[in-house]
Amino acid sequence: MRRPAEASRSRLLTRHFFGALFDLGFLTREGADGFIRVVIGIVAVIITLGLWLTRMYTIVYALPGGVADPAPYVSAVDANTMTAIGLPMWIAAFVTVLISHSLVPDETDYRVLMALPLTKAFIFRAKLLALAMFCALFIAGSLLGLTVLVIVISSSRFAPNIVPVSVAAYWLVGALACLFSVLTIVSINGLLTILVPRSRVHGVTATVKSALLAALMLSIPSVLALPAKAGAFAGHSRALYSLPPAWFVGIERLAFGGGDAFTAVLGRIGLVAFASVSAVAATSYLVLYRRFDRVMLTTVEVSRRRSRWRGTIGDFTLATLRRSSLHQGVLVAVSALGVTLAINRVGGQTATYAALGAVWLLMFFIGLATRAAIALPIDQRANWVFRMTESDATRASQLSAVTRLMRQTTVIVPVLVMAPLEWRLFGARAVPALAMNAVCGLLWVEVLLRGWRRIPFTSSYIPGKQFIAQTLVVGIGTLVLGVTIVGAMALGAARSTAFFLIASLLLGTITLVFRRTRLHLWNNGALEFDDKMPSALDLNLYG
Amino acid sequence: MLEARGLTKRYGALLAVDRVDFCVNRGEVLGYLGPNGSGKSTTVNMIVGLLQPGSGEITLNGTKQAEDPAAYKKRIGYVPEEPFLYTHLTAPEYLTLVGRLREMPLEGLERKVTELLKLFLLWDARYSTMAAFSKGMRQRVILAAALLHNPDLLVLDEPFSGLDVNASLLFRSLITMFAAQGRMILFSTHRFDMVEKVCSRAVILSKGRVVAERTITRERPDALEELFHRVTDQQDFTPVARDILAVVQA
Repeated sequence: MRRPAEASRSRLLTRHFFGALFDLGFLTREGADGFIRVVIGIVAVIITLGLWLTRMYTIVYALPGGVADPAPYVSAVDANTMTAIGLPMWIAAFVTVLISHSLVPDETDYRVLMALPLTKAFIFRAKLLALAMFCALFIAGSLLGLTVLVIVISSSRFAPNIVPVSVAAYWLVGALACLFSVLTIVSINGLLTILVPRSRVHGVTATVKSALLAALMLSIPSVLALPAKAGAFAGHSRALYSLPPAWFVGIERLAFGGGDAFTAVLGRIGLVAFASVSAVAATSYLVLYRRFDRVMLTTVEVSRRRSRWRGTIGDFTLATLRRSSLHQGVLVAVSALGVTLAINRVGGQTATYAALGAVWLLMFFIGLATRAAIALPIDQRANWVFRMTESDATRASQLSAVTRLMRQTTVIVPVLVMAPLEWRLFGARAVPALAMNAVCGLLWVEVLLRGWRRIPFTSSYIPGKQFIAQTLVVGIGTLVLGVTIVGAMALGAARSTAFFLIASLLLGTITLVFRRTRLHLWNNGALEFDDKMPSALDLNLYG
Repeated sequence: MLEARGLTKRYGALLAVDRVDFCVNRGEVLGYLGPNGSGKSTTVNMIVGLLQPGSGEITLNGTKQAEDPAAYKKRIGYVPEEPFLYTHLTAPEYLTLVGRLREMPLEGLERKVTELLKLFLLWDARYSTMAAFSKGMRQRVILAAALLHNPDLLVLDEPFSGLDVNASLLFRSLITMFAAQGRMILFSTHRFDMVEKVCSRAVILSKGRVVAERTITRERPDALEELFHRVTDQQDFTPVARDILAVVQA
């Protein structure tokens, strides 16, 4: 039994590690306040969506009062239970990927804490506990949020168990499913840290983190499509064997009854998978505990190639995007959201013109992702070197690296991605359609760069400078309108040369006006190194 | 010559620097001494152009900082107190970045970066990002970056913190030889021993004002420390040290 003093020290250290998981590190005090506002806003939006979902399901399950054949509803219960398990699994995986760099104590922890009379085991235990608490917070939140939904599903007369048993089963199996997500991410990270050569560990884990974030974003439509899998349950589809949430529906039926031979197979697959990732995660954590030097070592070997054709700021920007997991993660995750929506839009309607709007989804999200990634600071106190070398003569050419990057990611990439589809739709007429896409993209880049006066990664950042609801309404409005307008523009350009010329001239003129304003600002205004809240003075309230 | 005349900086109600005057002549290493909070770093930040003076004027070889800040900053090399640099870059990448920001031609820059890395004993670590560097290694990178464009004025803010013995000796020799070539060095520190070893003159700052100026003589090694204690109202720390030990041993 542990002594009270040791328990108290353990609590203290765990609390320290737990608090550190909420500290983004790169934000100033104003930035941290802004981040809290953003989190509160997001929670409010999630609660609203949860209530909306519950209401929707209440209506759906109120319908089958006197139906003769209950089979479709039995399958629907399975599919909806899978949804209620799948959503928290996704959230658990997402949160774990975000904090994957903190899965074991870092160099600072080691240097500061090992100087105190604390053992390595003590430090690791506290870190593990803090991580467990952090993940548990999100897991419990998501399970709690979906419990109402489970009650609605379980109230159906086709549910396999009565409501209290269903809720208990959901909490137990849901937590197990979320733990599976967490352990999978831990296993991937642990294996990489152990198996990749030491000098490449940080680079590889950063890339894999971005890849995992992208994969999670791309999986959103699949998660949202889980309620539509009722047919797969009814038809005992083998596709469900590769769907982790389905495994946990199987485990729930195995443990609490109401299943059949098919769900029993799913449950057994789930148990084997859970045991496997648990073993890998535990083993890798143990190995890292014994071989702590692998984690401590921050050496990153970089490519020996050097570029001559990129500018100073371009080199700096690309090196940062390649090596910083934070900046890479933001760029990849937000862009992947656009790719996800674009695939969803194009899917099944490649022969129709509706698919044309997908280009805007790519431009919108990749543009926002690029801007957000370069707005976030890195080693902010090192920006003195840019402050010391700033001059009116070089400022505009340095900042032009930002325009180049934005045009490459926001215009060229989406247009190249859409080119095969538009070629299939219009043949040679795809050329004006793609050109129209490019003109729209160039205007979007200018809109995104309005008021921009920063060398990438050098300015402090305050998230949530505007009211979250306002940002969401404006963002969703721009997204939805853009899909229609940009799609229609491409269609018009493909059908009529006159339309293409007039629309290009109009949008091109607006773009040039924006560009001129931007260049005037870059030539005459100093670089910005501190993000500021919009002040009341900006609203001209004081005349 | 670097001339600072009537430099003043106020942070709200706090007067950080109050009408400070001093000059650094060609071939001179000027020690800029003061206790913590005396306004040393604020002055240095104004000299290197990171902070705008509230009032006063800074001139370097006849170029006024306020009139042509870009031309003024081109002739300055700066080593900050803490080696803040972009640790995700390698040392060659960082030096190339600084050189290109200073508009140095790429060909000569590459050669210079290579030579400096070898001389500062950083060549073997050229493929590692600076996240893995010790404070001393980072300090050497910062000094190399400060010298890269062959500045007229070198501003050093506590450059010896974190350096090992060999690097400290190298720094000392470098400072002396750099000044001997007719360059100017402003050396901000709180270490008397260093000022006495490398500086030809010292200015002492207290509560934002220049309270003494003294030419360094090697005959009386403790003269500067005595003067410092006298003009900055430094208390006798022996009783405080005794009290600390008493608290620790209680």
